[in-house]
Amino acid sequence: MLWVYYAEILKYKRTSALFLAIGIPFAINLLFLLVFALSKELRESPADQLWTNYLSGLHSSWLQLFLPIGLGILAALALGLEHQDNQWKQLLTLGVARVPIFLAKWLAVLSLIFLGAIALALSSLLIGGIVTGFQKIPWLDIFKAPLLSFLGSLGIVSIQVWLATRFKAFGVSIGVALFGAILGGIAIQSATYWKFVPWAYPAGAFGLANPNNTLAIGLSLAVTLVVVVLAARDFQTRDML
Amino acid sequence: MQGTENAIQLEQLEKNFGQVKAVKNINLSVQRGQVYGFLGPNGAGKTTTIRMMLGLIYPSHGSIRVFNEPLSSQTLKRIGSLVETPSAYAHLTGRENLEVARVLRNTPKHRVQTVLEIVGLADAANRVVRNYSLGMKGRLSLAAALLHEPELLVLDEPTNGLDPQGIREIRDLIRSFPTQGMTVLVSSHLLAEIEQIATHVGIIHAGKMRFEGSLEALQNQHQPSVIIGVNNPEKAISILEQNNIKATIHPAGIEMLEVSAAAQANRALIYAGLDVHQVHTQNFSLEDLFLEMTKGA
Repeated sequence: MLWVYYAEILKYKRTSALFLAIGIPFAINLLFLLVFALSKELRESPADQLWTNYLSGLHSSWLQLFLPIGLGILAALALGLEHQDNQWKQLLTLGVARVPIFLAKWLAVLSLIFLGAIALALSSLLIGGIVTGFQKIPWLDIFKAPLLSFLGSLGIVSIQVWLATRFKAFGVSIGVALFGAILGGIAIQSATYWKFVPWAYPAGAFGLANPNNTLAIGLSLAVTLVVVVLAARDFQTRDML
Repeated sequence: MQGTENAIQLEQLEKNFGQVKAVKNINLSVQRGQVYGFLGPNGAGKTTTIRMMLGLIYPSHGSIRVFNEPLSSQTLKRIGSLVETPSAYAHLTGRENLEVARVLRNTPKHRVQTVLEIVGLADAANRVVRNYSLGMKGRLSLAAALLHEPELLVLDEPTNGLDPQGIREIRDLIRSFPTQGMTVLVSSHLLAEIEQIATHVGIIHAGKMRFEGSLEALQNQHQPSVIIGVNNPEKAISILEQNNIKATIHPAGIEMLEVSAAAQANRALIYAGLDVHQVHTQNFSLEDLFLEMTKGA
């Protein structure tokens, strides 16, 4: 399995995957640097509020917008490598069982999302530090949100990877990601319905609008398990035309 | 005995896409050491059959055995393949593409350079595939198929997009594979191409196998005949019947299958006072036979 994953990683050279995974979190931080620079009210908030103000806006946009859409793009990009030129017919005749190939794809996308989470934490430490003058750094908050949201996003990563194996069109993945982000954003406002929308789990895992983050992580893992099993089976039994 | 071992055996293989029967009850067997030409016009079912042989699509019915074992990811390890148009990761170099395949095939690192040299791509190995011509991509796909020194090569239209020089090189390469212990199944819609490399052929048309055997056996499917141009064909047939020679009406006069009796027939017709204006032997080329087998549905 490990060598299948290694071969998968080799394919990402010269693609925009790594740039997107790491670049988007940095870009969001730069955006919030700009917001702070333009907002006198934010700039002049009390010193102990600066980090809270900075991180709450940043994390909220990450959890509800950039993460769900970004992972949709990354999943589409990862599977697009095989759809382009119908590379499946080459890949699936190399004598490697289909399930490890699917799992390697899924793991590769997860790795990119994880890198994105780390990049978000590091860039918010750096740029947030510039904004706040590196005073009273809330280490736990800086790392907690990206890592919890990563756990909360496992289910939707699995859904998006499955979808991207099924549909060549980039638009399908992006459309679902966008729709999911909107639905998740609405669902997380409800104490009941967020449980039924996997796109609400990253925010739920962070405790945004709903404090039950353990449940959100548990649901995300359950969705992951079910979707990965179904998707792997579908991938194994499908005709690759 | 190694010489008679089946490299591929398809039994009653069928593939339906909804209501469309793309492949109908195909039996095919390729023995170890053969270069097997899988012939058929475009849309005959060649690629569908090859995709089933390689596990890309699943048969609706029937079985596939490779080296006497059911097709699986394990048996696929013994096969090198090139399906339809060549494909590669366009953003990677030729060498990087082969490296991905090498890791998945778990073959030694030096094989990458070896196969690049075999297919004549060593000089372009570090160029991004996006800048390759179709012919170069074809060579790269062939290099990937050869990477693990497969026992069986399945090549679907391998010379597509190649220039005449490239076609010749690939043809020579394919001819050399059996001497290296490889069995080759190569598909094409061009008989002339197969005729030059194959020892055995299978002809498929409209999803059905029309012929399978050696080229010699294919040639023997139709014996040569003698065409006699004569002014009164009906009378000529009756005269030949009296001489125990069978003949039938032909657009050019009459046709007889007994080639060795041509001189006797000619003499008999002239003695009977008929005007004989031509006597010639009609040979069927393989192309004629192929076209005849693949005409109509």
